[in-house]
Amino acid sequence: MFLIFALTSISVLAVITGFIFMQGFPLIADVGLRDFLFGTTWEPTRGQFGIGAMIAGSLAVTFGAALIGIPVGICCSIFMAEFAPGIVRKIFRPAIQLLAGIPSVVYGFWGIMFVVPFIRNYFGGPGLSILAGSIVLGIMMLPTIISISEVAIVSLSHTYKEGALALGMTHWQTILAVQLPAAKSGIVAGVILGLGRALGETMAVIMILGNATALPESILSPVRTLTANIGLEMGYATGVHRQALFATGIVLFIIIMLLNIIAQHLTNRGDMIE
Amino acid sequence: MIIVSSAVFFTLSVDGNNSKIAKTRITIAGSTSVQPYIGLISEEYEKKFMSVTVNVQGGGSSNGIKAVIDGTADIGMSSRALKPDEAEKLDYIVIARDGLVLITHKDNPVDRLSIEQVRGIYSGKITDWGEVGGESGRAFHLFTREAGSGTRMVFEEEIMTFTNEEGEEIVLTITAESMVLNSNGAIKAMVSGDLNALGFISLGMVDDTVRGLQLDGVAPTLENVNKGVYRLYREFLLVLNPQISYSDSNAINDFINFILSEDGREILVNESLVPVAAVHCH
Repeated sequence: MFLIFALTSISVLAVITGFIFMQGFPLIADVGLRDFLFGTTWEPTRGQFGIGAMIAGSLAVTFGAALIGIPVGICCSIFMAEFAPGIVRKIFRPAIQLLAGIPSVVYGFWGIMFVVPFIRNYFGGPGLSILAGSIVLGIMMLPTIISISEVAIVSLSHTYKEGALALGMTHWQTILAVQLPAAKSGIVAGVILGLGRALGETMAVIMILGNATALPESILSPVRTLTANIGLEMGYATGVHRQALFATGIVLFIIIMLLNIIAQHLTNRGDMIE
Repeated sequence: MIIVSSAVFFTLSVDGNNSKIAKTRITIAGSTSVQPYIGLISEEYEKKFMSVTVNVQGGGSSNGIKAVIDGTADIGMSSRALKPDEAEKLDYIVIARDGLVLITHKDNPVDRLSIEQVRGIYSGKITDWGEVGGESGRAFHLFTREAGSGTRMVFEEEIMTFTNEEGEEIVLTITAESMVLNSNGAIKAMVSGDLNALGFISLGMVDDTVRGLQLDGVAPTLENVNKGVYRLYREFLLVLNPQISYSDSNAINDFINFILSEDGREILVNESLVPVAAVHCH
């Protein structure tokens, strides 16, 4: 009985994976893996399928989001785990979970109403840019990083902290030299899942990145991500164009799969230490 | 007032009784550019004929055409011309012309461009507003629609494709630097807030938040589109499957006649479209 239900969920995954690969693979074989991955001309209605600029776009925006999201997220989780008085924690924790519950279209809307005009007016360029995307995605990945990192720090055995304090270390030294390294695998797993969220985000990204298919020149340039490419064009795509979007999906699928495997691996190692 | 509303209520209940047997349903799918207009017409139609439910869905021109071929939709909406293989299988009716307008920020001093200039700008050769009579030192922020969109296709065919002096057909590509948004509304919203922006949207969508540019000296007005002097326009089609539509249901014929009637045309005119009624049947 339970086996059947378990098999159902697995088989759904298998069907989706199979479908994406079946639809997208012929095009990659046709265009050639190298031209597909590293070509920088995307003119699907004229038979040019190079997603190089979009891979660059996805990586640039995710990297930018990481620069904002990781330090803020980890500091916030340390505060929550070590410094926040009970009452503050009681307010913060659901607030952060609420942050995770806000639909991405709302983040996108906020981005386009506030972040984009701000960048356009004070930094120049069209505003729809890597910078705008990084800020919004950096905020969107916070809940994932904070909640997983906080759990990693809180769930450390008390002996770590007590031992360090007993040796005469200050609270800060204990956190930096003992607790953070000990919780490292959990924190890294949280960060990687957060990166996965940024990489997989579609709606907000379509709204605030500008979706240009050229290679970006600066952080004020508009870019298109892999997800945006699919979301933007699927409504009209037929034939080879649609295959090309599925092929884009394959690349995205593999990147996110790799990230998840790394996160899984790190979490498992964390369990072993304890 | 009370009398009127009770009369409406009375008709409602009578109709409700009559239609208990079977409510006819018409499914329409396709271009998101045509959808709002057909949506308005179908609302009117449903008010008049309560026994009919008209279900209008988006999905894009190509999907709408496919749905009609498959039989999953009764009527397809398209904002692009049918491809030869599609035209072989399907009937279509041109219901309206929709002008395409180049728009800028309200405070942009440029109020006109030549087709030549637009070509240069969108192919990436002209990059500075100063080269077309605007403030120099300001780079263009170009906006366009996504590949496959009917709006973009019209722009590519009417502006970016041309015959040069030697008689060769030249097809320019829209520069990859241009920003791609997936609706008329999104482009209008971005252009209305960016002094350096240039985009193109449906005539019906232009309002006082943006400036519609003259093209080759011709103002983008309903009248000029109607006369054909404003060159940049596209046609909205309704697509029908001859095998399904006519044999099965009078409701579909009836609805199409309503679109082509005075009532239907009036709705289109109010929405800044030029009504046309050109039927292409097999």
